[in-house]
Amino acid sequence: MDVTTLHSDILGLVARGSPRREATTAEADPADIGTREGFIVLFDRYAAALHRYCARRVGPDVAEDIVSQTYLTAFAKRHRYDPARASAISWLYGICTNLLRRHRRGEARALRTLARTGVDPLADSGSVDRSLDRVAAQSESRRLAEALASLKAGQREVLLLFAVAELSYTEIAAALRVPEGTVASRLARAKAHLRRKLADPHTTSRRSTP
Amino acid sequence: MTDTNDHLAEVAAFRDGFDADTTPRMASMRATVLKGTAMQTTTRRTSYRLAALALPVAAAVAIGVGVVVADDDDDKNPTGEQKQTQTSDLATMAAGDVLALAANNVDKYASYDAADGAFVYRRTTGQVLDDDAGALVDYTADRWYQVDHGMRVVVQHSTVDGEEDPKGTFDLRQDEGYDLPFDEADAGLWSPSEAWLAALPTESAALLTVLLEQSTAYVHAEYQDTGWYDGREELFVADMSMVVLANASAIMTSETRAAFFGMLSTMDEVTRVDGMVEDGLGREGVAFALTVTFPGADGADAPYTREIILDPNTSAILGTRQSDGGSVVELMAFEDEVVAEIGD
Repeated sequence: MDVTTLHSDILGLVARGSPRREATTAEADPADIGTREGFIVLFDRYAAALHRYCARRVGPDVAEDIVSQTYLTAFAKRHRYDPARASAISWLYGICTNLLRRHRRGEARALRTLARTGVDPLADSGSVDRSLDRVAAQSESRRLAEALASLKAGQREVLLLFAVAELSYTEIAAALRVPEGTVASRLARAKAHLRRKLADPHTTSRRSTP
Repeated sequence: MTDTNDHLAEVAAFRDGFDADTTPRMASMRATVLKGTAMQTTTRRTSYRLAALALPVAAAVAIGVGVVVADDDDDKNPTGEQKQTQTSDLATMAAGDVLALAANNVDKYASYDAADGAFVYRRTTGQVLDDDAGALVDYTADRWYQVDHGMRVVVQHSTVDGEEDPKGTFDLRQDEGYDLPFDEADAGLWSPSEAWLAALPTESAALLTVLLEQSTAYVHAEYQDTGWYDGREELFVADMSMVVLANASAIMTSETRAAFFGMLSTMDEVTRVDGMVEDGLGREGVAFALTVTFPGADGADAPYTREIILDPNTSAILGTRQSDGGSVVELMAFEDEVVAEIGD
């Protein structure tokens, strides 16, 4: 494989990267990720899905940097990669999640702004569909943003890895280096939190009334 | 009432418009990754020299440059009574004997105690090759290494030829993500951490076994493209052990340091430098060396030699000297101290 040129099928990569399950479980990961050729296969397989996940959290622009940095960090640490893993996806999401933690404050701030104003500050990029503003203005998005913003960071992380990245409990546990039981309990708490915040459209306003 | 699974579907669809127009981003990311991975596998000899120049890991990752060894630091200046007979014999001792003596000097060099502080301060003084001028120029650096972060260089002020070096002056505490914890799984000969060093065997043969086990996958992944070590893990262990000794002995116990000396004393690749050698401060010591041959920028094989200069009485590490293709490219003297705070 010639890795010095851009992939000729970027459009195909994007299409295959979303939703993640369709893109990433059909083939085994290459065993030789120690080489650039083998490693680039991992990029082609997972980058679109990673970007999709990151973009939902920190916006497409920052997501681009984070995904690139995820792969460069992974390449620098490739000697640690265990080829016996069923998939490299939890390894990559683990690195990606660590990098995203640097943006936790900004992520929460953007969610609160969306909840308060109906305008998503992360949707300002020129490459984002302008109709997002309209979508974000909808009350469902505002209430969901408020619910996500009020989650504990660890619970939000697990929730988004499960719902957006579509990782399994086992994969989330491997990515975050926590026991599966911890994943299950965080997800259960996050679900319960969503249920409280979203089930009754008047819940939030009633609670905020003295 | 809305079902919980519907809430998950709402989360999954949240900001789904952000997926629009991903194609140029994918192309951009791929280009970045291709370029970055190419830089990490570069065979430039300067990358090798950076291993001993203590390029901080965080900065290296940020700019996408592969780093052989994370950071550095080094030794103490222990007190000890001079053994006149040993000193006089040193001039003619073989490498194995010099290193065996260093291993036996275990009671003469200071032993790391975590209670002494969280940082290692190193003053580096000497000469370094100015690539543009093609000559050695004076070099100084004051560095603070974070012990609980794999000896990450946090603050550095350096001067080249008496002038402040803007490229060598930084303070990582201002960087986003500075407070991220060190991942112990990253520790090794290429990134020595306090806990990793403390867990190493203190018997030299066992140490070699452990280091070979830990290094095989790394050598394969890092160097198979370059041919630098040509599958010779023992050569890699010897080379990187010298870097670790030179750069991280301030956070070693005496027993661990002695085990490294003992291990190197049994390795044929390690040789003796004839006579006495002066470090970057003009202090005279005895030196041992290791030469690795690998392709340079022109593709031709050329030797790169790393030497460690020891105090003849205490076996404390005075400094290092490095030569590329037979010419000295770096001569340094180290003065280290474990301190509580940066600035101490």
